[in-house]
Amino acid sequence: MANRKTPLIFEVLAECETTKARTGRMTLVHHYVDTPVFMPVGTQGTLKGLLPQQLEQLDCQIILGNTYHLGNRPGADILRKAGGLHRFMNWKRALLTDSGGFQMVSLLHLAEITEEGVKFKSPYNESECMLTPEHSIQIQNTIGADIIMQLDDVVKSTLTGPRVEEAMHRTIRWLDRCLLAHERPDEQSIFPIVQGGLNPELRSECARQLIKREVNGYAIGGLSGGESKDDFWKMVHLSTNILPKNKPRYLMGVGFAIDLIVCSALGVDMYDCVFPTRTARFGCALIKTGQLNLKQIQNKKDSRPIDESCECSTCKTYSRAYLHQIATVETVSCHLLTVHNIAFQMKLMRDIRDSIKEQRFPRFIQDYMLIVYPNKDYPTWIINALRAVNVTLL
Amino acid sequence: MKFVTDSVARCAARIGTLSGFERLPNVSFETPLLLIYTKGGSVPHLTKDIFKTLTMEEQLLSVSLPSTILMTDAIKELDTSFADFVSMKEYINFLSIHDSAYTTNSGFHQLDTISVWSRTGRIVVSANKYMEIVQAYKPDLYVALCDGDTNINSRAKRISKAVLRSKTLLEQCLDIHLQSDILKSTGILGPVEGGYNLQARKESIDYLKDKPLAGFVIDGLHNNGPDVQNISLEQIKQVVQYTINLLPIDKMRISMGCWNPATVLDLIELGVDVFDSSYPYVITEQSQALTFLCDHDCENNQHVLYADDFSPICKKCKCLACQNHTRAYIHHLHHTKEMLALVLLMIHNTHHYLQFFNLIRDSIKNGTFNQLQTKIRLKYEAVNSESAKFITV
Repeated sequence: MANRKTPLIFEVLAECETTKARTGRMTLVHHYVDTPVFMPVGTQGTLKGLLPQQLEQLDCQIILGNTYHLGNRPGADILRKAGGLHRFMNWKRALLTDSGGFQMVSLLHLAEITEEGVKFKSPYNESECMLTPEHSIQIQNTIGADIIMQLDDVVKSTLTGPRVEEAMHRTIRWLDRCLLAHERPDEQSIFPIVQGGLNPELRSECARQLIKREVNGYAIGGLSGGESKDDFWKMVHLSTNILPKNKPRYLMGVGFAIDLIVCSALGVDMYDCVFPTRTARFGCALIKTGQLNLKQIQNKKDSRPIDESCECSTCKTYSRAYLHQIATVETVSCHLLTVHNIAFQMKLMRDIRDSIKEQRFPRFIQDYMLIVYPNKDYPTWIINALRAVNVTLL
Repeated sequence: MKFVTDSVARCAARIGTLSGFERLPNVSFETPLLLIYTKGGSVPHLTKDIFKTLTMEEQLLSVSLPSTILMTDAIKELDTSFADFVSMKEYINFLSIHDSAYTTNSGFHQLDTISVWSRTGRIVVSANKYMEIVQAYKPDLYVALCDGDTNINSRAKRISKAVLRSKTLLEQCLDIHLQSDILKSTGILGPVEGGYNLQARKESIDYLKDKPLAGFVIDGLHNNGPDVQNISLEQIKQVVQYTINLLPIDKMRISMGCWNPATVLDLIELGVDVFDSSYPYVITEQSQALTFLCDHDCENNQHVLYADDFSPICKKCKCLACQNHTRAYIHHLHHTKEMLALVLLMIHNTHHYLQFFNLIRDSIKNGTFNQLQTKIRLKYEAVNSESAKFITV
């Protein structure tokens, strides 16, 4: 074991003295990643109209691919011949792939989960297929991302009862099968996923079981699916309390600015979400106070950029008035808003990291919340979540 | 604006220089020139920073009304110019009426007005309204409002109406142009109408030739759109030759539309100086990659792009798409309907077409134009030479 190469080295560079936040650097096979990090989603081997060099210019260090989609098209065979997804799409930095289980359950109504795996009808030829933990890892080994995810038993986040407990235990059993099937442990790290619904006992039990396995990082799953924000933050808080401090923690499917700030205070290091790229396609730009819908008529004669303080090429070049004219009409508008929205997420995460490093993260939180809620009508869940990590809003 | 050519022959391939733009005095262009097609103020699929990686050179952008006319209010209100509004002010721009990449609806003519089809429907444009738009846009060059709704099938009555209406519109536009302070350094171009009727062409030129025009647009040969690429030289040769023979030698001649490369060369041979890049855009929208200039052994030179072909579209191509991405990847992006497929194709096709115009100018200068013409013609005339022209992804 001593000689084995580690595909993930995580160094915590600074810890917030007030909250559970930390900032660090993950060194992966293809690139380093500064945490806390937001990972844009490039589902099918491309990030919605942007060239890889544009993503590099935006300072993206890691992006996400979806195993379910990539397994269908171009398929494992092509990806193997190409030498993995990095070479297929010519992306030289880090990649993370999910297990494919989530899409299977959310996209395919006919999916049935058994102990063996997820059984589903192929959307192409109606034949019965089975995605097992072994199969998921096999595809992810072919795709070749730096970080890969275990196949987990995902249940709707608002579900209660014995099915949640069953899913939690099965997730642990599937983790062991994934670890056993993993063929490239020197190059790829499997992250287990904390499940257990909104039940504190089940979540804790799951986390305690997972940390017994020898892995390089952990994910918190099954959240951000319509549960109340009060339940959401408590589950994150409880999970990060159990997960070891010296390994990165990845909260799946979270990407709103407020959530990124609160969850970073709760000790989360990695996030992904389709929201910033999806909303761009609908003509919306991210700004500190929320979203700016460029289709709205008030932008028609507004010669300012989306955000005067933003350094992205879209804000340095184009006015709201012009974007209003082409939003949702020309594909260029979608590329321009995607560039801005990713720049926004990257800047937010950089600000979070810098403020943690300089021991002013609590102040950063207070100031940001005041911008979003100038009348101080903070939602209760934010007040409570932040109070749990010793931050009181102004 | 001034155009200089040392050509003495009336109807021959020629080199010229277009310069003296007041807004950007140091910019000059050599003809035969390719105008860069834009839609809604941008090169389709390409953000400005990507367009700049494609060409660092000065470019002349072609702008048309259908995709921009709805911007007029905002441009007026902000007291700016079109180039500034769309953030393209480092480029010279040229305004024409119709969008050469899309078929223009025929009909809907009313007395001395032209219909423009915007995203939200038909907009009726009179000479007054058009000149208001022109004064708001402040283009560096523009075509006078005209009725170019003729093609090879047009009847005599339609043709004579087009000529007559265009004459009236030109006079109205020119009146306003000459009185306008804003437009005093802007070039106005005269549209030559008359369909495929030589007598009508002569009538059209007769009223244009003594007017203070910066050049001529040979209009009324087609109704724009992808079908233009199928028009052959035989169909247009006589009328274009006749028209150019009547036009003054020292003025630039423009032909808009997505002519295929072989026809472009034929038109250049007849003395046309300026074209627009709607062809590479139309090819992109057809999910094809241009390869008509490739004369080396492009491996896998089939016209269908395979899922496991890990070579670039063209091995010798220096464009961003060919330098960084494979046919297999573009095939995948196309089949998953990802926008990056169109971005990469547009980069390659535009690059390929700009190269084409570089080759054209070089070949005229060093006397090898006819060889280039023969080579390209072979690719476009051969029956089973799909692969020589483009690859379908």
